[in-house]
Amino acid sequence: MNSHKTTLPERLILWLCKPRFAEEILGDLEEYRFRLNERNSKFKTLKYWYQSVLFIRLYALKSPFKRSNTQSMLNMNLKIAVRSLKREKFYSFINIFGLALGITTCLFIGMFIKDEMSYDQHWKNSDRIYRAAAHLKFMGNQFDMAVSPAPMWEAFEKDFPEIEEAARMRNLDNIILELDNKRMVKVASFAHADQEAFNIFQFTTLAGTLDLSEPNTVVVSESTAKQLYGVNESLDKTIKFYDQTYVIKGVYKDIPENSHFHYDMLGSMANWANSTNTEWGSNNFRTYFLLHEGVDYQVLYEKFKTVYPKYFGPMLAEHNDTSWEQFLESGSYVDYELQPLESIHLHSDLSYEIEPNGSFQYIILFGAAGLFVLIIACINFMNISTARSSTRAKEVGMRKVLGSRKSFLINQFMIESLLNAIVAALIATIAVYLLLPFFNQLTGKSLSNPYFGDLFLFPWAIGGTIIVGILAGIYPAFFLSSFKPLRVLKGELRLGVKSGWMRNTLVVVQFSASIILIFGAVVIGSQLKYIQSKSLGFSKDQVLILRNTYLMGDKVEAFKKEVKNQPSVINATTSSFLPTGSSRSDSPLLPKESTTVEEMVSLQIWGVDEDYIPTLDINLIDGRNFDQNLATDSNAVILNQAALDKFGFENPVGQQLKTLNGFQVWGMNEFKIIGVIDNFHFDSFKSNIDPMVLINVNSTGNIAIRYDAQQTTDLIAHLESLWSEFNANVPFEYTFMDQEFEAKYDSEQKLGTLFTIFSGLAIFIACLGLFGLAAFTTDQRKKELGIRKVLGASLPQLMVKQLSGYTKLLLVAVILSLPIGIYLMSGWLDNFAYRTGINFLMVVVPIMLVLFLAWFTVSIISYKAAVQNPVKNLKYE
Amino acid sequence: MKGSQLGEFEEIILLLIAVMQDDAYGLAIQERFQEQTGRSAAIGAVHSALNRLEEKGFVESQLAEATAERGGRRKRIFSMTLSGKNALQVSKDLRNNLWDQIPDYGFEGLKAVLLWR
Repeated sequence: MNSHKTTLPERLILWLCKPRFAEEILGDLEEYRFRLNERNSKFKTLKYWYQSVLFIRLYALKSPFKRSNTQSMLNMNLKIAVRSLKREKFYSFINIFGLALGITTCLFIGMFIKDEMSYDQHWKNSDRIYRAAAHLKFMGNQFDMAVSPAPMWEAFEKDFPEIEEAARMRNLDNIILELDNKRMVKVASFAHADQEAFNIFQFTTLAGTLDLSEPNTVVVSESTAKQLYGVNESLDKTIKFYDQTYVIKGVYKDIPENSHFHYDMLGSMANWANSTNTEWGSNNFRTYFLLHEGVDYQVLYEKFKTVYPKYFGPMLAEHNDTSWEQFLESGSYVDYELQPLESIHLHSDLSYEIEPNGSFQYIILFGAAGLFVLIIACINFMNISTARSSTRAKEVGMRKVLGSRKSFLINQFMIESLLNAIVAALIATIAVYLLLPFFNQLTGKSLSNPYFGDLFLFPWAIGGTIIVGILAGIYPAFFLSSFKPLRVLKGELRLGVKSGWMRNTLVVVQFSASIILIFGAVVIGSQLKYIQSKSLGFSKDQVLILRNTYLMGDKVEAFKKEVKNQPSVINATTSSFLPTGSSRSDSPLLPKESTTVEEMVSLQIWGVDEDYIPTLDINLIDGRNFDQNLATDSNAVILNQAALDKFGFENPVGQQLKTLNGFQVWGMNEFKIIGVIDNFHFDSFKSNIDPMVLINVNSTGNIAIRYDAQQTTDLIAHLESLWSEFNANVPFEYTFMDQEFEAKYDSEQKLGTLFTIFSGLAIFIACLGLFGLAAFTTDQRKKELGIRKVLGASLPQLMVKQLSGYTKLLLVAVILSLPIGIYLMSGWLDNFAYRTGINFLMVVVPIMLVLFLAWFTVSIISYKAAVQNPVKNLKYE
Repeated sequence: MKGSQLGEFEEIILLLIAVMQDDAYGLAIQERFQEQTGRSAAIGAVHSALNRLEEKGFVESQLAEATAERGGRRKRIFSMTLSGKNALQVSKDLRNNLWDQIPDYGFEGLKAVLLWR
């Protein structure tokens, strides 16, 4: 044998042509090429290809089927399938339409799930990247945070050879840059990063170098660069923020949507003052580790525990006068977990996540809902096929008499079901491409080309279609093919009665699934309504928020005064901390006279002004508000009820609080309580309201304005002109507090909408099936109806007779589905610390809805049959 | 068995097989065909025709020795069968018969028609 490489045409021929011909064809081709070479002819390759391709002719092609007999059987089965599809247009429509809806739903859910699961997998080495997350218990306070201490990255990299690279990111979101030409540009997501971050995350460089090793350097994303000076033009230009000038060293490609961070700009870590401190007690940095290949992160995580005393021991001794051993004995602990990068989006739900993550629970909920809808559609096919068995019984009997084997008949019915599934899948494909924009709007994603794009659903769609075809067809195929030919041909087989129990079971399954989905939608809807209508402890309506007011510097007070002078403004307050914002500050305090750290309480400490409580309508239950005219109010604090409960003061007003040794809060060590406010919701409904104190210091991040609802548009115009007087270069941006509040429950809103759609689809498909089934059985009982009518049965009597059978099935479905639904949904409600209960109405509404729809569906059919002139039904015999 | 008619292309291939004797394999036949008729044909087309002829029973084939220029693959040498020879004969007789029936003035008339047009 010549050891020449097999050419592509040769491989093509080997693959496509019958092996019997391959030898001579390939031989001739090889000789042809040899002669072309000998003659040194022009266009050798082209000629060779031309001749090769022309070999692929019908006679030489491999037959797709092994034996020609099977092939012709298959052809015939296909033909019969198409004919029966055409003959029974009504039932085919119900089957295919239902299946198409089911498959469309499943495809969308598949897209959603695949996209959610793909988060952060696009990074090179993503399987070796981990983030450190803190689980700390400190004097009775539990912290679960996506952040870690500043010195951890270097210390751990030295301690553990398993770590190949480590880096930190410290994010400060939402900063305003000043360009050379004084133009201001907002950057939504910014972080200081160590240079090593680029060794862990392989950003794509578009211009310059991604180099943050020098202080006062930044790198920006492509879209940010376009907003600044342009992608290539931005290099070596300067920008200013927080009174520092930075040089743009590089531009990277925008971070893909499916990542857990989307930094628009990264700055040198050297510019972050706290980056070099050795404080193990404060967690402010996101630390990422790249592990060496083959390292088991769980083993490494266990090893972390050995170094905690070394680092946290000195810290405890300094601040708390306790030793590591005493610390552990008191039930406290330190635990830093390694989160695999790819799992962060779906499985991490900690405090201080960079962006809101997805939820694995929702993935499962969606997946289950999609599967339910698909199963309901498959059952339609099963039920209608078996119910109509009588019309096919003669055909089966005849075929068997003529020597058809059972396996052939099974094949035939399977092919029919596959054909249905394929037609449905084609319709579903079209629907998916048409409805994609709506889907994107609904889920807030930006997916495109689901079949052949990044999602590559194509193989899934093909596989899914085949599975659906088999699933829907297998029971009817075995059922129909098992008829005894003799009895069928004698007419002994009762029409479709034999499979009655199975059909009833399937109807029960369908309606149980529908009831569960509707019940789910109702519960989610009520919880959303509960969140929206629950008294929050502050009033979120008619509050306008202006962001980035800190850029005005000292002028904020004057600006606030001007705002307050507007006729439609009721009150205004400046504060960096708002219940609907993301800015938070957390520190521990103790009662002044306490001697042990056990009495320490971890608190939210928010700097506000004296207008905060009246502007937000927060209820003061004891003491008084801050007073600007009292100099003694400089260290005054107001507690919320939760904080009071923790401290346990009987007479809170006048009591004093202090910080831990060596710690300062807002530059102070001691505080005096002057009042107590009602709890108000500043965090998710998923957790209890944390203890907090308000402190009377200047924090100028935002201005919140309570206005009179009548004159909103005027107000905004006035505010804008006022803003430009004070702050000409900064873009004027405003939001409404109630909208911000709604946005916090975005994922629940989406869940609610999707569940409503799913449950609507489910009940629709189920009713479609019921419609078909009822049409068929009524058709079978036409004569019975006619005789009953002749003998004097009234219309209501006939209708009740028809409906009672289905009602029994529905009641069984209700009994089966309710416990499951209640169990599942109370599990979901348990996510919320503040939640609505499942009440009588929430149970009754879905049941009545399903009952009503089912009755309505069956009634259409039975009414038509019952009002018909009995003579018509009886005259043929 | 498919119809036993000989197409024009098939007939020439069959004749070439008879002419070439022991050397009648795909590529050689194709080259000879181009030589003799001045028409070009894809090797694939020749193969296809050979395959049809074999199905009709006009030729039979054996695998012969392998050569280096064929990359070590063997040739399939075709030879005419008796029914192949008969088919050629029938075809030739038919033509002869028809030729014989052309009246003497037949071609003259054709000329006249062409002129008249």
